[in-house]
Amino acid sequence: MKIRTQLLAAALIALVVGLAACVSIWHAAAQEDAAEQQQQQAQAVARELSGLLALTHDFARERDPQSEQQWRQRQTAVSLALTAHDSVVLDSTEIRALRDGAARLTLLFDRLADLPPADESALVARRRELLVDQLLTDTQGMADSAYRWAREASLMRSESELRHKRITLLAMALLMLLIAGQAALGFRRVLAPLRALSVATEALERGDLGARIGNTRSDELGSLSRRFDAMAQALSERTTQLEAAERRIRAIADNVPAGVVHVDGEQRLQFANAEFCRSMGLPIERLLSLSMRELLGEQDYERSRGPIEAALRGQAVSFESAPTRFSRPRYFYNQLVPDLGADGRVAGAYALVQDITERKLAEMEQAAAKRRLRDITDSLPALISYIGSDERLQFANGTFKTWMGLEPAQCIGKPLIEIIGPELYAQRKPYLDQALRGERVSFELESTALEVHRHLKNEYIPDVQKDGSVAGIYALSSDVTAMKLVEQHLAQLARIDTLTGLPNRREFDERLAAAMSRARRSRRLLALLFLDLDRFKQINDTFGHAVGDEVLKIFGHRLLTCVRETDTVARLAGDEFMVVLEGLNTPAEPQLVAGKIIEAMSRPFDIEDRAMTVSTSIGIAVYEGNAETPEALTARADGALYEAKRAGRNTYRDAEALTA
Amino acid sequence: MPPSPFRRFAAAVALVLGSVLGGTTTAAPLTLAVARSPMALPIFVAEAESYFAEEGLALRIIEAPTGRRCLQLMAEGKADLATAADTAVMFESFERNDFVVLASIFSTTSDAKLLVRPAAGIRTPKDLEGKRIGVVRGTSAQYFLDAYLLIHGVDPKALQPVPVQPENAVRLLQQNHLDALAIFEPVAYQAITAMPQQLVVMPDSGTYTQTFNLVARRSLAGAQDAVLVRLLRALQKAEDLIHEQPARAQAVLRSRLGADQAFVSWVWPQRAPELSLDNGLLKSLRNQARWAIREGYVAARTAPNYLEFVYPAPLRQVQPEAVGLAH
Repeated sequence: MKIRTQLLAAALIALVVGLAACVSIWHAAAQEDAAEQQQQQAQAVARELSGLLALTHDFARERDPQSEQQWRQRQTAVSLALTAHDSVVLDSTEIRALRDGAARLTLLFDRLADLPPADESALVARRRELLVDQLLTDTQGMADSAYRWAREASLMRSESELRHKRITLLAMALLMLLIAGQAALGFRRVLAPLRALSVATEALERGDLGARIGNTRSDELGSLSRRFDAMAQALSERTTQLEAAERRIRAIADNVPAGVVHVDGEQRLQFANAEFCRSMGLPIERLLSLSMRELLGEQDYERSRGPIEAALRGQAVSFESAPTRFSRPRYFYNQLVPDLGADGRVAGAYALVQDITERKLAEMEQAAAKRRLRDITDSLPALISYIGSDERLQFANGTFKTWMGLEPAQCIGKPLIEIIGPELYAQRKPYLDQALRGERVSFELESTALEVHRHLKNEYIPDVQKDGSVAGIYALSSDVTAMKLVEQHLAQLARIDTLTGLPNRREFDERLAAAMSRARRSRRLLALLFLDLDRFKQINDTFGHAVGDEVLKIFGHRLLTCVRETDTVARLAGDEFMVVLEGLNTPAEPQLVAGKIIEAMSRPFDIEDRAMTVSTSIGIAVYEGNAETPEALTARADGALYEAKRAGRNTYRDAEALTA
Repeated sequence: MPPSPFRRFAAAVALVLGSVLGGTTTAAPLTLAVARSPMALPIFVAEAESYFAEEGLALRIIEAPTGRRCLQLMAEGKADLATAADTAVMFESFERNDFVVLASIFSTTSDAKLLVRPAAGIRTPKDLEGKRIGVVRGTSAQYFLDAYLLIHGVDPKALQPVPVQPENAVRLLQQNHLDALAIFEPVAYQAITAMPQQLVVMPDSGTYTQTFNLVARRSLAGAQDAVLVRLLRALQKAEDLIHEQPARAQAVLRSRLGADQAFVSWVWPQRAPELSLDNGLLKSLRNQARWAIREGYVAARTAPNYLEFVYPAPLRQVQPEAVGLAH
């Protein structure tokens, strides 16, 4: 039977029993009341009849109207007392008999009262006596009945009282029995299974997943117990699955080369993988009881507190930390992810802690090295840059800004042509191409940037990869302008050409002026020969300046062999040479010398195992001691040289002959 | 309904036990002389229902036509107990004092009746003067007749009383030896049924309240109280049954008196029988004694002390509330 049915039945029975008890008690009480009323009525009737008995005696003795009236009044009182209630004690027939008796008393009394008082015959006296006796006997009989009635009523009242008490006690006992029975039944059917359920739930709470009740009853608690067993079974299976999953997760977590932890909303450590334990140097048992503050220490915790609290507010945060707890510097990269519960609220946070000490140290080392390098390059008086194979700037030092007026950072990645402009780019393009082909190139050039003219010495070094390809070039540009100026100044100050060892222009100018003075004083002829190497630029361009310089040195040396010791040979500039012939006797004499020079130059020039053919053109001007200036003389010689060039080179022309 | 087999068996066992064990039970069975009157109904019922046996009483019951004759049987030693109306007790008290009244078992105002023959010219009580009236002397009928006459202003001495017995009263009427008959039941009914056209019952609004009493030999009082208690207890049970199962009691009455239901309906009392022992009985006995002296029916000049003729102890033990006498 279901407990609900049983409870309903119990309630119904209790209701029925209670109602029955109430009705019984009420009925008993009513009976008691009725018996009491009967007793009172019977006593009242008996009292009245006793009074009537006395009044009958009075009347028999006195026979006066007062005693008659008294008797009749009392008789009326008797009748009234008898009509007051219906008796439950006596049969209604008994009551009727009493009433009849009362009526008969009146009848007898009437006959007695009707007897003639004066007539005291024997018959009247006999009748009176009989009537009086009869009245007294009947009255007494009625009084006896009334008293008996009263006694019976009293007895019935006692019985009613007793019954009332018994019924009340019985009802109480019955109800208590019912309650006790229900309690016992309830204990057996409800409390005992509930206790079993309670024991099982406690066992489950303690972690005993094998706890089962095994109730086979068909009532509600039985079904609840079976559901509990099924739930415990499901829980057990789920727990086994969860444990397996947790083992897997722990195995994964333990094999992750980073610390993995989980903290709850109170910042208490709930999970930590092997790596984290190892890096903290604490066993998992110690760790799991710690709060983040306890784990990190006050100082480190205050530094990490912001991100941790942000994660617990639901933000994903990452930060680097350098805990002070370790003897040597260590660095960690921490990624915090909020642990959102099913309800969307933050239940805690996961943290991935990576030890980045090595990387960090390497980075710091690299940064320091980079900084040192930059400091060095920036302080060099040279422009150092790296240009990729695509001709884009990849690096430039601080000099770049000084020269170009551009921040290197803004130019990184831009094509060179954009940065330096097409003019400067064109200057460098051949060397750039050469270097990008894998050759190391050194060259000097003059260029103007920011209206500053510089003489630059450049070095392009290809960045050759292992596979032979060129990733780019390192470009080093040194400003040699100052050096060049000094060089030029020094050259001007000197009288000897450093390349050929011949007098330079300064010396030549002084010597020419002096020679012309002497010629005027001695009145002897003086000839000026202006020489120029044919197509010297071509040699330079073809074989380089070094070869050109060597050609100039040999050329000067051969010139000296063609003139007298007293004659002057000088180099003015580049491939321009001057010869001053003094003490000439005839104006045709210089032509002989010129022929001799052309002859001398016709021999091949041996330079770097190469036989080079070099020729010269010569312009001749003869000074005859007049007022002609050195400049005019030189100009005439230059004009003659021009003519010789025009005549097809490798020849000489005399200014005299031209004018003639 | 006949007594159940169990009840019969229980009664038999009680009887045997009573006989064997003796003790408070009389060794020899008592004899109860019962008047053949409807008022003896409780005794008939107790006998029919084996209440006496149930109470362990060995009781022999003998019948007599009147209570007066029952008392005579007791006086002759033929009975230990008897039933009798108050008038019979009163007359007996003038002759002996070896008996006591244990209890009244019935009281009624309608047992005694005055039957008249209208043909004899009797219409009113006054018409009875000079007429032949049959009456059983020493019984309630005699007192009833005198009281009726005196109440109605007729001198009993003006009538011609004819002594009759219950056995011959009806015959005397039928043979026209009587003009009227003062008689109790069941004879009154027998007379009316025998001569329905000739007899009339004179109207009476209860001339006197008659009591029917259980009387015992004085020697039993005190000596055999336990027996008397059982006897009264059996009667008490019988009275309860009459009260609660009147049909069953009426069946007993019919079979015991050999009467039909019409008779039962005729006599069935308005009031159920009830054990009592009150001052009323004493007063009634004394008044009747004074009447007997006054009318010269007895030689004595003073009435006996009727307190000495009642023995209330057994009834008080059985049913205390039924005893109205002071201790």
